[in-house]
Amino acid sequence: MIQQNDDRLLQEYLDRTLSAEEIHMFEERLCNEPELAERLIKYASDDLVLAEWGAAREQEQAIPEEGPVLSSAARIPSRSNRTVVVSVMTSMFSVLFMLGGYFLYQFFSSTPLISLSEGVVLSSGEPVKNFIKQTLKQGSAELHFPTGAKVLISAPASYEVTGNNSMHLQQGSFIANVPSSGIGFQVDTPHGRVIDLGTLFSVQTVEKLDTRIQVYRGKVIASLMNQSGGIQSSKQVSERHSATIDSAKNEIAEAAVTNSLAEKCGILHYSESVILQENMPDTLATGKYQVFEHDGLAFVFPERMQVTLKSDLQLVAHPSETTAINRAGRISAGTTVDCYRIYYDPAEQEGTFIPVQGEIHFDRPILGVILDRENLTQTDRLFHPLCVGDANRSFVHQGTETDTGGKDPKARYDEVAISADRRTLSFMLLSGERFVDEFRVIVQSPH
Amino acid sequence: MTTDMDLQSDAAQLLLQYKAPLYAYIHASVRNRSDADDIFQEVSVAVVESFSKLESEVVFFSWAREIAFRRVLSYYRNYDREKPVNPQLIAVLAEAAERVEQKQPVSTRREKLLECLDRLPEVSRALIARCYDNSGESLGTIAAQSGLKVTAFYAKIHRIRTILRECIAQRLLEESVE
Repeated sequence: MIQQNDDRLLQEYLDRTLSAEEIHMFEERLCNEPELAERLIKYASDDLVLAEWGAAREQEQAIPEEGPVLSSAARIPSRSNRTVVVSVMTSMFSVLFMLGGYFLYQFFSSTPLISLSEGVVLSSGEPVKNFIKQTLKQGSAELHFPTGAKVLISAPASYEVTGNNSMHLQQGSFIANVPSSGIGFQVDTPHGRVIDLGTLFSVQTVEKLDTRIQVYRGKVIASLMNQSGGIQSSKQVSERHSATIDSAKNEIAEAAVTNSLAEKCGILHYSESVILQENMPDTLATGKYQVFEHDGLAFVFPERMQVTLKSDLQLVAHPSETTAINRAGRISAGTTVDCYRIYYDPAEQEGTFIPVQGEIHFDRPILGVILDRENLTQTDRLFHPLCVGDANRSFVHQGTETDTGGKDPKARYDEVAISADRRTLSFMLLSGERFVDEFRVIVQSPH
Repeated sequence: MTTDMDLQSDAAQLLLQYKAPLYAYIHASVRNRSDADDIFQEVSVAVVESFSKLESEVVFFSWAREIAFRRVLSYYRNYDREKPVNPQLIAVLAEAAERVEQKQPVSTRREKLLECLDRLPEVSRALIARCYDNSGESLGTIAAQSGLKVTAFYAKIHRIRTILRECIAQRLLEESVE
């Protein structure tokens, strides 16, 4: 029998704010009162809709006006604000504790399931019509599906959106970040179909050859098509595995994640929290692209290889040292180097800081790292791939906070270290929803 | 002829169609959004993998709900040993989810709730949005910014939720009369 106070009890039960005794009594009633149990299901559904709506509304209000690349930096607070946010967080958690976790729900809520947009849009907000072939000749484009799936397509590519949670990739490659709300995201290629089961994965299609799938997190199901439009076979591709849908051989070949890119980059191995990506999007660290927003995962992009320095390059040679003089290093003019960008952008809700810890082992000596925003900007002309044709282009950087500790090394937010043999880079980056951490690693090029 | 590919596609479509009630059941059972996300993903994988065993799509929700029931029990066995759950409660909620879906699909209720949110005065809508916008701000902070005491703020949120539920009930009633 529904009682007057049941609305409040149901909500507090969902919010986990009832005492152990109250929970016990309430669960007994749930077991014996079918109508009350039905109301709990409805309230749980309402709670989810409200959370999705709230997140979608926030996201919509956060979409900035289109403008020059530099203007988008304004959305990412300066790093000095981090201290303020951390102290605000401390207060918030204290209040949370006192309130018995009424709002704990919010802290654990994830990607919104509802999008205020009705169809697929580009990261700029421009809608993409279904079943219209799109050709991307240069750069990259990020598609946002209403289900929450985000797909970053790299040129050259041709594709079309086929529904609110599906697309066809005729030629080219992409990386997709699909939250649980987008489970079932479907990609058709000339050779088969990939159905996502909530994951981070990439697809590369060469129209007349094959489709390659690489799964970084989660699982996908890959299917090979035969000539009559049916399937030859299907395979589940698991985390850190790759598969090739090969039309010529009529098979899906599965393997552990290929190391060919790593080998090409002179990387012997790297930890599970690190994802090596061949293509670096034009605009990192501006909040423009969301595919690379992932808690606990750092991305490594090869920036430019075989760069011969025309003048000496100042950088940080010993990042674990605390004084500027001990950290400093210099690479002489004439040295040929390779440059990599490490990038970490957690997607957890505002106020939460998520660390990532990783290691990368190179087969060549690491000459140093470029950690702060100013030096990242100054070295763009040398290492940013888009500065090859236009050395004066400017990009927004965030850098790291390895030097924040100053007198107290323990107060550092981010830590970067190079092993004594200079072959291993290790890092611990601490970042939050509105921040990114990024730095460059300079490695000696092979002769 | 039905191919494996068709089956996968069908499974994905049905999962999308019944995502809301399945998710609501899981959320009601574990009362933690993050854990509900993980369990829903496990259920989705199991549904796609074993979809060929489903005899009729008519019973898809019951079948998927049964998978969800087992996953929720497994969650409690594996992760919350200190607080053993009453399996009867999880079963009761599963049955309740099925009854709710039969009487009035959760997707319909969801639609009405979104309509009702649009009808709220902007002040109330902004307040409820603040509570659910993932900003991570505490009740105390939001209350202070709204110029209200915490208890008064909590009561206000409760009233808005009540208004929304009454609005949903009214709209569902109107729809049934039409």
